[in-house]
Amino acid sequence: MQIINTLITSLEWLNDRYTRFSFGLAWVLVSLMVASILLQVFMRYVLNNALPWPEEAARALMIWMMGLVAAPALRRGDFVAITLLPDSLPNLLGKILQLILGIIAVVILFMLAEMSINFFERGFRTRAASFNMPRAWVYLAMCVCYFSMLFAALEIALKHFRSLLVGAEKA
Amino acid sequence: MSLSLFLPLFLILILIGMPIFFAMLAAPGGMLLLLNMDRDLPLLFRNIYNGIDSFPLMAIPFFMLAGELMNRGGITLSLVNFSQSLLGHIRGGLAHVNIMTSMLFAGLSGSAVADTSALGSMLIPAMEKNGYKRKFAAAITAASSVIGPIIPPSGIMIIYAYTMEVSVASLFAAGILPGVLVGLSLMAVTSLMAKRYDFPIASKKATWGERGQAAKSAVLPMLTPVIILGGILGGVFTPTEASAVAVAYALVLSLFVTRTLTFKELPAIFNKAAMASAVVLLLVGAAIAFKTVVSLSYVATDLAAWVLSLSTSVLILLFLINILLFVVGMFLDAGPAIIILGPILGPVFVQMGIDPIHFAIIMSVNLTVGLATPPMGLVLFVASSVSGEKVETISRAILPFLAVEILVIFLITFIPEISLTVPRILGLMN
Repeated sequence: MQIINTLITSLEWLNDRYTRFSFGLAWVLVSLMVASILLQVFMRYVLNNALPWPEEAARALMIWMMGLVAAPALRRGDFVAITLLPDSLPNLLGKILQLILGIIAVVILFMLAEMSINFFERGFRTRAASFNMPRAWVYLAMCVCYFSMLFAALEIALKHFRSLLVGAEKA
Repeated sequence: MSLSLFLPLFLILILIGMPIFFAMLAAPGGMLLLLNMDRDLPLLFRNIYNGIDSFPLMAIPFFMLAGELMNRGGITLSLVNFSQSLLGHIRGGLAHVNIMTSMLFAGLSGSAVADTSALGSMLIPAMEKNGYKRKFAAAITAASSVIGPIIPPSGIMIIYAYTMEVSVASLFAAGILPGVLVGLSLMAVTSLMAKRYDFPIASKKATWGERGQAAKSAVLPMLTPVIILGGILGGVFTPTEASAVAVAYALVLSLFVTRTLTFKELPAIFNKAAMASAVVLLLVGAAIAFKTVVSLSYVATDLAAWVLSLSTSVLILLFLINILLFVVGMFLDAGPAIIILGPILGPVFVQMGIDPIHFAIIMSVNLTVGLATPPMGLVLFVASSVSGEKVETISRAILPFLAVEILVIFLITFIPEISLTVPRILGLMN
């Protein structure tokens, strides 16, 4: 139990700091997204001089915004699920099911995180269409997204495990 | 073992409570691994990214942000005051005000949840003070909030348009009449109930001067849908550009006109919209990856054949599909339900001669009404948390409103003109 508690505390510490970091950055990215699209509208309709880059830049900003805040959303339980069955199961069975679902989420995110590294590396072979930058720097958002979600999912799964252990000890 | 087994596996995973995002990847990914087709896994991964890297999809965070800004910027209050100046003097006045404000709010926000929390926190206590039972106030708030995603702009219609490759502008135009019809039907039921249960009158009849005053403070927010729809339908903006313009407009109104918002509050509002849209974007990405496996496995063809074997009559199939969508809507949020069912059901009905825009509206309205349907309707939970009334109590009080909404769903299903007239008049379709 001591090891589990230490692991959970460490992950909480890490994930809390990440949440603060992502919240410090995400709103700036959203503002820049709005600004790029407004600039595009202004240049095209008012100055009749369409710029080539705002659309691609805004897409890149959106992907980064999503990548940064996906993990805090996962920790907050914002990912939609039908919880009718786990909620109606007896306490112990419900906890076991939650743990199994948590482990599956960790496995999926581990695989996604692993694939995202390869995706990032391959991104150096292509460049953004409208500005001189390897696409890898956009793809990096997916690494950040899946790795941060993996840590969040680990924290959630460990908490389910601890709750199961506490339940078993009480029984 | 066949790859098409991923579909039952997917259903099992969502029924046992796995978040839809993970289930959409676990089921096809698991089957690919089991069948030694793991070389296709990177394709699954790549398609999540491709699904998210989309300009049209950017309208989702922008519309969410615009709605949140309007809500926090006190704009809801001016809409309530305007509705009250028009309807407050009739019997059941505040209930009518609730419905009318939902219709006006729907033009600013594409979300039923935003509508319930914004209007509920203001109107439920006001209705209770005016003599309504709290459960009725919560029920009418939840029932009328479903108009939010039907009248444009609409988050779920953007998702549908993107995943099913139909025009957002046509969908937005097609949603106007069905949304108004839902609102008017709710008002009709409220009128009947008002007479039967002797609902209170909210205020004395406003003079035209007072109405003019109320309209003056509501006119700027009410211009939002005009800017959005006028811009899109007039070919000035794309839907994404219109959504960014809506954000800028909401910012100007809240910061400089109503001055109900300060710059300090903006980061938290922007982050809230970012988190809500991140979840939707990942879901759409997973849906695009899911679609890849649907096409690899021929499961859509098999399902289409099965649906067609149930009956040769399009009307009966539409009736059955309405029941299926309604049941799904009881348990699942409208966005994920559209993401899952759209690619499977859409092509079947389009092949049978149903107009793609008409089918999109059938799906959208049906699943949106599901948001207010027990046991799992999301807005019931929001209405419960806003009002402090139990979900079970609101679920009983909402039944008369749900009955009329179901009637409207059938009208929309069997009279395509309700959905298609406006897009046709605007020249968006033949």
